[in-house]
Amino acid sequence: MNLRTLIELARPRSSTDRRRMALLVSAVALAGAFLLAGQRVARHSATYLDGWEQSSYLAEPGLRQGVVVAAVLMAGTACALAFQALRLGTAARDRRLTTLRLAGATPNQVRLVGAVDAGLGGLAGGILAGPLYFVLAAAVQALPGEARVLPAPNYLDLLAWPVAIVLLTVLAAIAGRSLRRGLVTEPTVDPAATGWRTKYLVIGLVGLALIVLSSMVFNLVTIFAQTAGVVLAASGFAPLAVARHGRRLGRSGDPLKMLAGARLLHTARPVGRMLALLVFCGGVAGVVMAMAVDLQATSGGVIQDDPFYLTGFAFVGLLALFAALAAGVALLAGTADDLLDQRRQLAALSVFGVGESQLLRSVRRRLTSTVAPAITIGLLIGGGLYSSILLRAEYSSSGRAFVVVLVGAVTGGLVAWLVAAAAAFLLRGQVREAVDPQNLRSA
Amino acid sequence: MATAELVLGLLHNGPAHGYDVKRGHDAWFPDSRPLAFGQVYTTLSRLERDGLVEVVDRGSEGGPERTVYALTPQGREHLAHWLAEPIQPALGAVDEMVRKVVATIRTGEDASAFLARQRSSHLRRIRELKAVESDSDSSSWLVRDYMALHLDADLRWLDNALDRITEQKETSR
Amino acid sequence: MTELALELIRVEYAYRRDVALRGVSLQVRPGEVVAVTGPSGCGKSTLLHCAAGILRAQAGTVHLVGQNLAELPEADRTRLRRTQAGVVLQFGQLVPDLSLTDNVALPLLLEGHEREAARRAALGWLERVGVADDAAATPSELSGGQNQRAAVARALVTGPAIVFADEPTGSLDTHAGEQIMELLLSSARVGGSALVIVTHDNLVAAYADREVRLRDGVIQHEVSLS
Ligand SMILES: Nc1ncnc2c1ncn2[C@@H]1O[C@H](COP(=O)(O)OP(=O)(O)O)[C@@H](O)[C@H]1O
Ligand SMILES: [Mg+2]
Repeated sequence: MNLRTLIELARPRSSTDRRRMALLVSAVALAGAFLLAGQRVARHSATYLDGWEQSSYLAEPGLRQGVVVAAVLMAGTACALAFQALRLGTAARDRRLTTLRLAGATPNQVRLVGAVDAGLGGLAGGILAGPLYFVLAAAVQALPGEARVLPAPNYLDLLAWPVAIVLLTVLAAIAGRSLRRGLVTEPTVDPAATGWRTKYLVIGLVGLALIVLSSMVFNLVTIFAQTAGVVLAASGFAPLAVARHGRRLGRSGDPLKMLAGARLLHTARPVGRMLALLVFCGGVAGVVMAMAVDLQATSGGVIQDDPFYLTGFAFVGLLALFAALAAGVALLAGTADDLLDQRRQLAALSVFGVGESQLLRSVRRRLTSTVAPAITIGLLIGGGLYSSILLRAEYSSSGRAFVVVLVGAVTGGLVAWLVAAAAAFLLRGQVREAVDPQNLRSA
Repeated sequence: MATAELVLGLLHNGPAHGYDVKRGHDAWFPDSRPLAFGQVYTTLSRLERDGLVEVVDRGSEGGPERTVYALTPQGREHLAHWLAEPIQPALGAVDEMVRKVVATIRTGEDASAFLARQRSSHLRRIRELKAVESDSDSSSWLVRDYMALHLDADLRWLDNALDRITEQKETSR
Repeated sequence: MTELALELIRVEYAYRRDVALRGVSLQVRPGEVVAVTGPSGCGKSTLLHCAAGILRAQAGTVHLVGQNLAELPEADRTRLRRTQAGVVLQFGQLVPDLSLTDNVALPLLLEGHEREAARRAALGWLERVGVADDAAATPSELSGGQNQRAAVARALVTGPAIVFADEPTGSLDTHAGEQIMELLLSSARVGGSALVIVTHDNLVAAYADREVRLRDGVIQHEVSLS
């Protein structure tokens, strides 16, 4: 196959195909922009002595490294997002790859098509990353001093940009090559559904024990032990909770709930993992929230005027939000995959009146009924743990922190519900493809 | 028709009267034409002449229906030989249906009406064959399956033939 | 005169490039078994999908138990289809996450039946089609033949006036195929449902009371077999 054939085969065709490509390109562009920002900060060497006003995050070498790490983390999260976009299958694409296989393409050739498809996305994203970075940097320059965490761009960025393009293109191509879409035409069967529960229960219990035990002692280690405990407990309990929720929905008399529940039950582990990530992000946000209340109370209102803390909170909050977004997109991509794999079965349901709108409702229920509680629980855990530390340290602010955390958790859950509901709407293309009568035709 | 060999086969399980041979044949092939008595006795006497069967008991009255026949060693060998030989593919044996289709086309008659009538009658016959409840230890379903599948083959040939004729007409027009 | 289970009047349907049906008229009486045959690509599946209301006829009318599908509001049309039409496909119509019982109960649940009652009815049908022992299993744990049996149960659980089957034995061996055909026929007979079977297999078509033969989107001939 020559390059022209490859590009022709990899080109997106349907509107869902194009949306997938758009998501991929934007995620790669974001990753590129963050990388460019990271290298810019890393190259920055000015100190207070330079005399012009700048953020202490840039001025102090220790903090500066933290900013670089944060930028790389953001880029990493954006990459994860891009990977999810790549994984997102679409019916049209799947059919094309399958026929390609049937037409005698070797697995390697199919992988090559995948690599070119992803590589094109990486290339476009990389090219866009430059302008995005310059816009971002310019926007940051407009912020008040302490929040100006990005130095003004300079000519060296113009050299870094092509490097980023090549890097992102190659990375994307490698990722696209590694995917198995089109190589396996059968939907993946869940491995034995038994046995995993005990393992996850143990993980969750260990995490819980860690949280409880670490709250008994009170020193610097506490915060790390509790973080680890939350991570373990969330990763252990979330899949169990999803399975339980799925079973409960599955037992309901409402067939749409039943469909949503059954799917949750069969995808409890991947969904649970993403929810655990959401719980963790919620936890971080909860801590930030409680910390802000605490600082405001103890410093007697000075906090509003302290751009240093505000910038720090904004940083951490943004990171958590971004990671949560990536987890959400992963959930969305998983749902899209399901729709693709089950399209024949779903189309067959249309005779019974389970059409596009019903299916969309079932999908929305799957997303909202998992995402919103995860965020709420995360906020409660993070905020609650921090507040309880305040309580035991007998800070007067603990009561107020509890209230704020509670209100914040409810609000956060509500917002998450809305976002999940809106995100479900993004899948309408996949839903429409899934119920297309064309899927009923035998091969 | 391998009536002689079939009679040998029917005697395979032990000596029998001519009447038993006839009954056995009709049980083996319930959907085929029953074997006539006359045919049974002429076959048996021909086989006796050739040394493939022998008379083991003439009965008290000595009439033909009392006579009991048994396989000779040569008869057993002849039967084994017959069973071991694959049958010749019936090349060139043109069925009446083929003749009719060729004649229909050559005389300019309506071929698709012929197809409809033939499908109707063949499908009905398949339906009848399928409708027979077969008792579990009988082998008669073997014969019915054979007939149904051959009727199916006839229909497929007919479909194909008429498809091609229609195509030829369409392209030549 | 009792009303027809199905009536198609000069139905036409075209895909973007191919015209699949060019004015097909067809009547199916209650309880009648009709085989729709023809070479592949002649429009059999399209005809079935139009008749079952999965596709909307672009011209002509489709009457299901006397009701004109095009004139009904969407909700009523769906309800009519759900209660009066069952569909059996060649394979892969059962929801993989649900047990056979839940799969069969699905149409009843959508109809608003109580969960327990729906499950009981489903179990009864699974028993009738001979897969009651696997009622709790999911489709991927069972053979194609067992899945087809459950599909027959799902098509008949609402007591439909008509069952549409598109190559129902197409992915089974001859023996399993015969069993499914006999099951379809006897089940349809029990409930008095009419049966429209799309097939290119003469041995399957022979089960019907009538053969409707399609060629290039038009009916080539219709012959009675009973
Ligand atoms: N979704 C579709 N898009 C385009 N053409 C189609 C589609 N489905 C069927 N066709 C065409 O319509 C014709 C009839 O198809 P179909 O009803 O599936 O035939 P059959 O079931 O008899 O094999 C064929 O020529 C086929 O190529
Ligand atoms: Mg078809």
